[in-house]
Amino acid sequence: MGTRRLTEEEIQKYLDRHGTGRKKPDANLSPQTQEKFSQYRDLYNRLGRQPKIDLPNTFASSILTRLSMGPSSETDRWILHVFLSLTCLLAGVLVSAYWLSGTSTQGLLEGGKQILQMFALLGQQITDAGFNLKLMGLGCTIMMVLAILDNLICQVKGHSISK
Amino acid sequence: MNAERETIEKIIAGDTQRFSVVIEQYKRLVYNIAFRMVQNAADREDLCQDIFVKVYRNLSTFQFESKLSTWIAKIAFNTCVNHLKKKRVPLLHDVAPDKFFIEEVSDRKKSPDEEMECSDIASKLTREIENLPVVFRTVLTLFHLEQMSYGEIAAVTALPGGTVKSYLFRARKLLRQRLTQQYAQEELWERGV
Repeated sequence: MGTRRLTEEEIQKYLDRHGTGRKKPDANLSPQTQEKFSQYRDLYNRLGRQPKIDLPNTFASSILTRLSMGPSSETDRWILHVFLSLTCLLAGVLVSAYWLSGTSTQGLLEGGKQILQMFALLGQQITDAGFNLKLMGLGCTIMMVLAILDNLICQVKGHSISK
Repeated sequence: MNAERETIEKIIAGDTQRFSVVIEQYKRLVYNIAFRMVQNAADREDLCQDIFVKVYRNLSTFQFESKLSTWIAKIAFNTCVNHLKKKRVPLLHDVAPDKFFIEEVSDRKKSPDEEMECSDIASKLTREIENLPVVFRTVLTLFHLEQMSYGEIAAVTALPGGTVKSYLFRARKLLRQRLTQQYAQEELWERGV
């Protein structure tokens, strides 16, 4: 009776299906196949051995600490995101309103006359109190640009984590 | 499964401390993926932390349509892939004909440190696994250490099932060939383990 030869793929398929428990799939295999089979069986056994976990005992607690410092969920992050966006928008409107001349502002925002007057009054009071309104406006603009950039970068970094 | 669902629901409801249960249960899975995919040991712990933070922040989007382990593994895999892309590490480098691979590795002269490190069979195997492309290492880990099915590995890596099978076959074939070629047979292959 002749001996059987198995391809490497057949040996792997056998071990995938039956595990490494049995010593040989068949007694009448050719010597080369038996040798390869033993090698694969040993390789499978070794690949299944767990490596030593190299994480500190404080691993879980350090993650919990990290979580307690930031927004707790996606919903919280979304609320924060909306809040920041609205703040940026408001800052943008305020700065634009200040730099536009009175007449053109009225021309542009016909319906928001009262709001603009309120802003103008607020600006006057701030100036009267001794603050440099132009400097504050510049600061607001810079902060707004930074916030928008930060937002854009965060969106790119956090894009679809499970895809 | 129900206990797991209850735990997740409590975490989503705000019981952050309960997340430590999830961390303890899945830290080996996450570590195994990071350990095999990222070779810089210093980066691994940070990556493992980042993975769990992402798991926590996205827990409310988990639909219980797959096993939690598959979902976490997917996040771990993608986080490691992003890390490797930043470091410009190729995921599937020069998967050349097997013969070329063997010659390339065996011709390289080992440093004394490497010789010391290769003093036992487990280290030799670890070193050979590290020489494999990242994707090969990952599918080997998910199949042999995490006992995932081809379908689950396909879901984690977003590869077709046939590709997963092919990568697994080629990875094991390469490992067997490299190990038998490099080291004396009687030293490496223990009979009747």
